Amino acid sequence: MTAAPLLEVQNVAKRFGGVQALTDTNLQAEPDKITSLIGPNGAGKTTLFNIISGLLPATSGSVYFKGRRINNLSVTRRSRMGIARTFQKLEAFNSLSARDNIKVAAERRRRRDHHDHHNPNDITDELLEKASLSEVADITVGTLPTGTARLVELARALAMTPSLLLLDEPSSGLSEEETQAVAQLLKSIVSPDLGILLVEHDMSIVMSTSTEIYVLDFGLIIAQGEPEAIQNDPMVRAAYLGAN
Amino acid sequence: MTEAQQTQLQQTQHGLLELISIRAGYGTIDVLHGVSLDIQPGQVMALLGPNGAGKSTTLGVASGQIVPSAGNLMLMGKEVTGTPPAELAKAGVCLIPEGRGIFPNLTVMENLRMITFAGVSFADVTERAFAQFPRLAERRKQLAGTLSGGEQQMLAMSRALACDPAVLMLDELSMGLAPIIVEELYEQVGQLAQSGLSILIVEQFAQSVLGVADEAAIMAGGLIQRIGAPDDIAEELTEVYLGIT
Amino acid sequence: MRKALDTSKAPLGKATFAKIPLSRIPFGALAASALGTALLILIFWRYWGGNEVTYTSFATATFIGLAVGSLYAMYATGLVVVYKTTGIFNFAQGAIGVFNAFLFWEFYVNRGWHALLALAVVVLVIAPLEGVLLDIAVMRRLRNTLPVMQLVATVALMVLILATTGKIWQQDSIRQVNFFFGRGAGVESIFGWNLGFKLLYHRLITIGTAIALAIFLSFLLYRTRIGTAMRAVVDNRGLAALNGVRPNVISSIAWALGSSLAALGGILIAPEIQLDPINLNILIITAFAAATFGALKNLPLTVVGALLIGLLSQHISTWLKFGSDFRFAPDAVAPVLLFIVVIALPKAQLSIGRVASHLKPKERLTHPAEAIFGVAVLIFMILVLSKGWLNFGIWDPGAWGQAPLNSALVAMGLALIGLSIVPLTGWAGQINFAPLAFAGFGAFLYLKFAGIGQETTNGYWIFLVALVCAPMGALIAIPASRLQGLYLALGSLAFAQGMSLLFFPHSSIIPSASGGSHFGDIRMFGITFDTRETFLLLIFFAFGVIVVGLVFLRRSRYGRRWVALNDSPAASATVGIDVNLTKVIVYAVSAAIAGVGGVFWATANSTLDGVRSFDVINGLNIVLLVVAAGVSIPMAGIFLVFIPVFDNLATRLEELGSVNWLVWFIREISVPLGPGFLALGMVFNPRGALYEMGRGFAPILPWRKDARKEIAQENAQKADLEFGEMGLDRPFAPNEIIDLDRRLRITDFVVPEGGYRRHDSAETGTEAATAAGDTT
Repeated sequence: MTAAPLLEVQNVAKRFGGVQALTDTNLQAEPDKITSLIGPNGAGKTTLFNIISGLLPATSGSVYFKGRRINNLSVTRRSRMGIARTFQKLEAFNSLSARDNIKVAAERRRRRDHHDHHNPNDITDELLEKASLSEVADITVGTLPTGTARLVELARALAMTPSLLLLDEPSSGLSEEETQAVAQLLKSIVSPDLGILLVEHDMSIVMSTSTEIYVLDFGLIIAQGEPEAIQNDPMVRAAYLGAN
Repeated sequence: MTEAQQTQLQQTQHGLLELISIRAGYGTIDVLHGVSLDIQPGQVMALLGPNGAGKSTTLGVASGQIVPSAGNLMLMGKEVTGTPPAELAKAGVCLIPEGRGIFPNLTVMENLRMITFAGVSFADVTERAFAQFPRLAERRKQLAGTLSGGEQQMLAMSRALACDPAVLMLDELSMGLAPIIVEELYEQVGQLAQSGLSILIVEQFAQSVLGVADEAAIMAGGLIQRIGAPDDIAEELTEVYLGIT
Repeated sequence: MRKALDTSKAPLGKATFAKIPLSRIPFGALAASALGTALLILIFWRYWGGNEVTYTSFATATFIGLAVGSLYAMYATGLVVVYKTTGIFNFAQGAIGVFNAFLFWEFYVNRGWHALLALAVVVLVIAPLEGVLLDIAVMRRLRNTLPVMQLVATVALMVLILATTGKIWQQDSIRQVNFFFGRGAGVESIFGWNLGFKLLYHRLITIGTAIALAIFLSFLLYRTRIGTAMRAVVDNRGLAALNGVRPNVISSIAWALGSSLAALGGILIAPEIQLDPINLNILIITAFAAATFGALKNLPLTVVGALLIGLLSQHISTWLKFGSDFRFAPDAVAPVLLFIVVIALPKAQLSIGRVASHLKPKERLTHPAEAIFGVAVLIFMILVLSKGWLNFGIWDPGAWGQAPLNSALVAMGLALIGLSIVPLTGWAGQINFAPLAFAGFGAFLYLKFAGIGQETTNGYWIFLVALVCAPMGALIAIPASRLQGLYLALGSLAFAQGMSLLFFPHSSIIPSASGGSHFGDIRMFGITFDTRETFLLLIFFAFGVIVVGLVFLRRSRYGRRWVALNDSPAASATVGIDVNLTKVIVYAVSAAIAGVGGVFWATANSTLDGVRSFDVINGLNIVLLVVAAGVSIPMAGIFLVFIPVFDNLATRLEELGSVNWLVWFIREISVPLGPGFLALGMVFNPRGALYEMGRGFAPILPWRKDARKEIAQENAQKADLEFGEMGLDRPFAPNEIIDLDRRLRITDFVVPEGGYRRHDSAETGTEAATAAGDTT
C-alpha cells in the first residue's frame, strides 16, 4: 500500500449563487515539494484555498489530508493537524507586534512528537531571524509596510510547524528584492516534513521554485505538469493571453 | 477660473479623459506613483499588467472613487479632481467595476432601473439592454445574484450600452468567465468601439483586448512602463505573464 | 426563521434527508421554537389567573394586543428600513419615538394646538429633520468606524436622548395624552355584526395606520425608483455612486423616514400608557425584538413579530396572575422573545478580509508599574481629601470627609464592574451590554453565601462568587460564540432587561427586609472593614489587584489570543486558536470581574433596590463611560468615579451657597447627559480620553518617551504641510491654484445638462484637437 498523498483534492466544486466558482477540481500536493496553482484572476484559486483550510464549505467533492477526509473538520482542527496558510488580502493581527503575531501561533503549534519541547519564545526568535524581521519585532504590525507584514504572516504560518503550507500570493505588495528573498526562503523551508501549495502571479517565483504546476481556469484544472511543460502548453497560453 | 488657468489649460493639448501624474493609494500607502494617461476621443486604450500593478486603482481615480493625493484628473479639458463619483457618472464617465458591477439582491429589472439615475429614461435602458442581451429579458424578475457569471456581466454591461457615456471604463470584464462568453462580451465592446466611444479597458485576457484596442499600456509597480501599439506590446506580455524570456 | 418553516414543510422522505446537508438544517431555530412553545405552555399552566374565557374578554384582549402590536410594528419597520439602507442599527430608534411623543404632548396638550396640526408638525416636519440632523452629525461618521464603536455610539445616543427628554419634561406631573376621538369613542358593531365590545376609534386607526404603513413601505422599497436606490445602496454603495446615485442623500432620506416612523409610533402609543420615559423604555427593546424576528431585513416578518409580541403581552396580562415576585412578567415578553430569537439565529461564518481592523486605533500597553503607580496616586488623593490634609481652609474635613467618601465608595464599586468591560470589549472586541446584570448576580450570590442581614460578612466568599460567576458568563458566551457584533449586543441587552424585570425584583433575590443594611461589613485578612476609610482602602486594594492582574493577563498568551481574535477571527482559526473556546474564556473572566465588582458595589451601597438599582440604562452608562475613557486601557474603569463625584460636588457647592449656575450645570447637564456625550465623543477620538490625557501629561512623565516622540513627529509633519502649501515666498502658480482648489474640494466643475454623451465628446474632442493644433 502506497502512502496517501499529503493533500488530495477530489472533484471539489463550489457554487456562489448563480456563479460556479469551482467546477470539478482535482489536485495533489506532496511533502518536500512546492506545488504551484496558477491561473487568471477569478479562476477560483483563493476559493480552493478557503475550501482546503475550512473557511468555506465545498458544494461537493472531498478534501483528504494525509489520507483522512477533512471536509467536516473545523478550521481550528485542520490547523492543529498541520495545515497552515497565508491570505491574499493580508490577515495579520494588526494590533499585535510582529513578535506577538508569531508567538500566538507558536503557542498553538502542532507538536511533531512527544519529544518536541521547544519553547514558543525560542521558536518565535528563530523565525524572526529567518524572515529577517528581528529589527521590527516589537513594532505593531498594522503600522508596518505591506511587504514586511506579509513576511510576518508567513512567519506566523511557519510557527505552526505545519506539514502543509498554503501560500496565497506571498509576493504581492513586495519589492523585487523582497520577492527574491521570499523565493529563497520558500526553497529553504520545504522538507520531508513540509510541502507547500503556492498560489502566485509572479511567474519568476513559480517557475524557479515549483516542481509541479497546476493551471486553474474557469474553475477547472486545464493543465498540470513541470514548469517547462506548462510554459509551452498552448492551453495555458490561451488561458492567459486569450483564446485564439 | 482665473485667466492664468485658462491659458495654462489651452496650452496643453488635452484628450477626453486625462490623468496627469496621479499619485494615489489606500490610507497612507501609495499604490500609484505618478501615472499619466491620455484617452483621445474615440480611442480604445488597453491597460494591462500583473496583479497589484495598480490598474484598478487607476480606474478608481478616473471614476472619482479614489481622490488622488497628488496629480490632476481632467474630463473634456476641465479639472474634475475630487469630484464625487455620482457627479462624474452623471457627467458621462461610466465604470463597470471588477467582479460584476451589479446589485445581487436586486432583480434584473431593478438593476436596470438603477441606470436611470445617470439621466436616461427607463424605456431607453430596457430597450437597448434587451435588444443586445435577450437573455436578460427572459430573466427580468430574477435576482441578479442568482444569474450565471456571464449573465451578470451582461447586466453590468447594460449600463454602458444604455447611458451612452462620454468614456467607458471596463475592469476585468473576463474575470472568471468561460472563453466563449468572453468572446461574446468582447464582440459588444468591439461594436461600441466602432460607434466611436472612448474606452479604457483593464484586462488579464490580453489577446481579446489587443484585438479591439488602438493603443495598449503596460503597468507595473504603480507606473506605466510602456505604451504603444498593441502589436508591439504583445511580445512583452508573454514575458510578464508567464515569465518566459 | 423562514428557513425553519421551509424545511419543516418539506416532505421528510429519505431522499430529502440525503439531499440536505446536516449543516443546513436550522437546528437552532427548530430548538428555539420548540423551547419557546414549551415555555409558554408551562407559564400558562403554572400562572393561570382563573378568569373565565369568554368571547368578549378574549376578543377585547386580542384587539388591544393587535393595536399595541401595530405600534411596535411602526417602530420596528422604521428600524429595519434604516438598517437596510445605511447598515447602521439604530439603538436610539425607540428613544427618538419617546422624544417626539413628548414633543407632541407639548404642542397638543400643553399649548393647545389642534391634534392634527401637532401630529403633522411632529411627524412630517420635526422628526424627519431630526433624522437628517442625526445622519449628518453622527451616523455618517460612523460608517468608517469599528462595528463595536457603531453599536456604542447609537446606544450613547439613546441614553442621551432619553436623558434629555427626562430633563425637558421633568417627572413632576402626570402627563396623559387622550385617545384620538376621546376615551369612550368607538364602534360596537361593524356592518351590522355585533362585536360584543367597544372598538375604540383610536385603536382602529392605529391598526389601520400600521397596515397602511406596511403597504406604503413595501411599495416604496420595491416599486419606486428611490426605494430601488435605497436597496441598491445597501447592496453596493460604491456601485450605486457609479450609477449616479448620491449615497449620502439616500441615507439621509432613510434616516428621515425612520425617524418619522418612530415619532408616529410614539405618538400613537402615548394614550395607551402613561407618558413617562421609564414607561416608554419598554418600547425600545420591543422594536429590537420584532426587527430581529425578521432577521433585521424582512419587513413582513418584522410586522408578524411585532404583532406576536403585542398579542402575547396582552393575553399574558389578561389571563395570567404572577403575584408580586413576577409582577413585571408581561413587560418581559419582548426581551425573552428577543433572547430566544437571537439564540436561534444560524451560526455566523468566520469573516475574511474585515475592513475594520485597520480602523482600530493603535493600542498602548499599560506597563504593570504604571498601573500600580496609578492606583497609589488614587489612594493618596482619597486620603488627602478625607483626612483634610490639604483643605486650604475651604471645608471642614469632619463634616465633609464622609460625603465624598460615600460617593467614592459607590464610584469605586462601579469602577470595579467597569473593569470587566476592558478584556471583553477592549481586547477581544466582544460587546456586552449587561455588566450590571452580572454584577447583580455576584451581589446576589454573596448574599446567599455570606448570609443576609449579617453585621459582618466573611469576605473570602468573594472568591467563590468569582468562581460561580465565571461559568455564568460562559453560559452567555454560548450564543456569543456563534454570533458576532450586533446580535451579541442585542442578546446581551435582552439578557440585561430580562434580568432586571424577572430576576432582581423577585423577593428572594434581593430581599427588601425593612431597614438596616443587607450587605454587612466585609471581614477579611483578620480586619473588619467597618469604617468608610478602611472599606475604601479595601476596594482600592481589590481594584489595584484586578488592574495589575489584567495588565499581566493582556501580556499573557490569553491576552494575545483575545486581541488576535478581534483583529482577524479567520486568521486566528488558521493558527489553531479555538475561536469558540477563546470567547468563552474571555466571557468567563469578564463575568467573574463583574461579579466581584458587584459585591463591592452592593456593599458600598449597603442596600440595593431590586427594581431600580438594576435599570438597564445604569448598566449602559457603565459601558459608555468605560468606552469613553478608552476601552482597552485597564485603568479606564476609574472614569466611572465621574457620576457620584460630580453629584457630590454639586451638593457641596450648593451647601457653600455659591455659583448657582454651576450647580445647575453639574446636576442637570453633566451627570445625566455626561456619559452619553463622552461616549459619542469617542466616535471622533476612538483611543479614548484616558489615552489623550496620558499624551497630554507626557512632557512631565519621564517614562513616556514614546508619546513625546509621537507628538514631535506629528508637529514636524504639520509644520511641513504649512510651509509647503503657504505660497509665502512666491505667488501661486496656476497649477498650484488648481491643486489648492482640489485639496479644498473647490471644483468649478458643473455637470452640464444631461451630462456628456459620446456624440458631444467627438465634437469637443475635435475642437480641442483643432485648438491645440492652432497653438502649436
